Parts: sequence; structure tokens; C-alpha cells
Amino acid sequence: MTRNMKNSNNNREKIIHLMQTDDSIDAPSDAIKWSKNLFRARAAQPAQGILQRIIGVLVQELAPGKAAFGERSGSVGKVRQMLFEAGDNRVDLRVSKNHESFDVRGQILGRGWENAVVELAGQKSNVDKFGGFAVKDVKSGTYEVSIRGGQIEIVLKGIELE
Amino acid sequence: MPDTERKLGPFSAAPLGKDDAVLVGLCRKGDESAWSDLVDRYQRLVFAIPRRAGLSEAQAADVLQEVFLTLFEKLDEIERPEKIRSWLVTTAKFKTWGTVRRDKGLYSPETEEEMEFEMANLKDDSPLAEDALVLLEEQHMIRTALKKLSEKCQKILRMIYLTEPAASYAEVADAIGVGATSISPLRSRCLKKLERVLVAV
Repeated sequence: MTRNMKNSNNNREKIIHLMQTDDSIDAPSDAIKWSKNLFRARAAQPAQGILQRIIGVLVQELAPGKAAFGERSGSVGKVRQMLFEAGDNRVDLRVSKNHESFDVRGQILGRGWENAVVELAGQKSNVDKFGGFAVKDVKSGTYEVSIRGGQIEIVLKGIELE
Repeated sequence: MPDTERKLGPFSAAPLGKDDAVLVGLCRKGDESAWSDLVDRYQRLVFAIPRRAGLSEAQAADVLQEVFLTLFEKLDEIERPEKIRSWLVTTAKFKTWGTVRRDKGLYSPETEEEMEFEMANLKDDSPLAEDALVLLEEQHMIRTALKKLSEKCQKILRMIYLTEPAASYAEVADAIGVGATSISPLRSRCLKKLERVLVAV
């Protein structure tokens, strides 16, 4: 018997032995299904280059001259304050009247928004390192505020300035 | 996570590794069926590792899910996709070991670096000794290689070697519709084909 034939016989014997001693079993079907679904979950996320748009939801509004619950009336200001939730972020928006127009200031509470671009009524402004931004001299009307950082845009709709 | 390659006796990982690299490449391009194939191909091997270490079925299922989640997260970072099998085995070993440690109320490293350091100091008589992992990997390779054979060869080899009790040549002949005298040479030919898929040439 040549060495190659002997090696080949040894290989086949080993293959048969390994096949016959293989007592492994399939993982539970729900664990397999969960693992397979990971891919679908990723596919549902926006791919790079596609903008993810998050619509902010108004969760609290304080109108000028109106005290918030638990706040002393003496502390009531002239600024209208709105708090929006947008995914993992919050946006604090404050509107104050400046003669015939309005100044809009805000702060975005969330990570990675420094230098994001804020757009309102055709005016653009940048978010500072503390998440703050301001747009001044906006005429009365109903607007959309857009805050865009990288591939994410937060949109605050129906902001009435009057 | 290192993709420590274990020496697998006479078997070569190269032919099957090429398939793995293709699957990983397709996954990276967003091919969901390739990901599904990858999970199907490796679920049994990954699940066997925590089970062999004595973890319960539920704990082993958790390890499996963690391993595939890690793979999914690092899919674009894996430098040698043809070595994905080694990567999966090593990752399953790490995660199994972490679960065993937590079960015993012992310190379980948080980072991969800490885990690698601790793993390097494990005794080789642990439930996840290299020999045990090599055996599991070899068995995985045989299962994968078997699926590459024709339906007829798969049937012959499964009936003769994987059923308990083993089917007689007459039963196999009946099942595949040939004369009983053909089974011995067919069996031999199918084994050779299987060997060819597994052994480097």
C-alpha cells in the first residue's frame, strides 16, 4: 500500500469516526430566527448617505404670561417656551417678540449636534458646542424648524410665530 | 477578537473558507439570504460550544445570540472573512467562558482585551480545551462538506453512517433505487468525494 493510499484510508476512517460521534444538535429555532432577523433590523435602518428624518413631538408648552404648574406667578416671563422630543434628543425652543418680528432661541439636548445646521424661515444658523442656536428677526407666520447634523435631521413642524 | 486558527488534523479549511468569504462579502452588500445561510451554517457549531462547556440550553441559546449579534456588528470590520469559522469559535468560547464565570459569581472581564488575557491563562483541561474545540470544528466541517455532495451521496452516507442502527445495503439500495451490489462501490466513491472536499490537494 502506498503512503498516499494509507493516508487516504486514514482520512476516510477519521471522517467516518467524526460523523458517527457527532452528537451536536441544532440550536433552538427561536434563537436561530432571532439571529437571522438581526439582518432585517439593520436593513430597516437608514443606509449611509440616506437622511434620517425625525419629527419632533411637542411635549410641553409654556405660553408667555402663563405660569407652569408649581411655578410662582412672579417668575412668569415673556418668552414662549416649547419642549420637543425627537428620538433620543430633546429640543428646547424659546420664542420672544422683538418689535414686529420674533427671535427664536433653542437648545438641543443630545449628543453630536455641535455645528449642526438650523434652518428657519430661510435663515440658517449653527448649533454651538453647548447645543444652543438662535435665529433672529423672523416675521410672523407658521414655520418648520430643521436641525440637520450629519445624516440625521430633526424637524419641528407647525411653529406659529404671532 | 482574535480569529485563532486551530490545526484541524488532515482537513483543510481553505475550500470551505472560500465559501465563507463569499457569504460574508454578500452580507456586506446587504444580501439577507447570505446572512441566513451563514447563520444556518454555523448555528450548530456555535451552539455546541456552550453546551459542551456545560451551560444549559437557554444559556447556550443566549451565547449563540450574543455571538451572532457581535458578528453582525463587526461584519464590516472582519479582515479575513475566509477565517470566519475560527472567529466564531473563538468568540463563542469567550462568551461561554464569561457566562461560566458569572454563574460562579466570579469576575467576568468586560472588555475583549481583558477576556483575551484571562483566556490565555486558562488551563487546557477546561471544558473548552483546544482539543474539544478542534473536534467540534472538524465535525462542523464534515457536516458542511456533506451538504456539498449530491443528494444521492448524502443519502447513502447518512443511511450507512448516521442512522442508528445503520441501514443495511439492501435498505440503502431500496431507498435510492439501485441494486444492492452497487452500494459498496457507491459508498466508497461518495466517501472519496467527501474526503476531496475536506482535504487539501
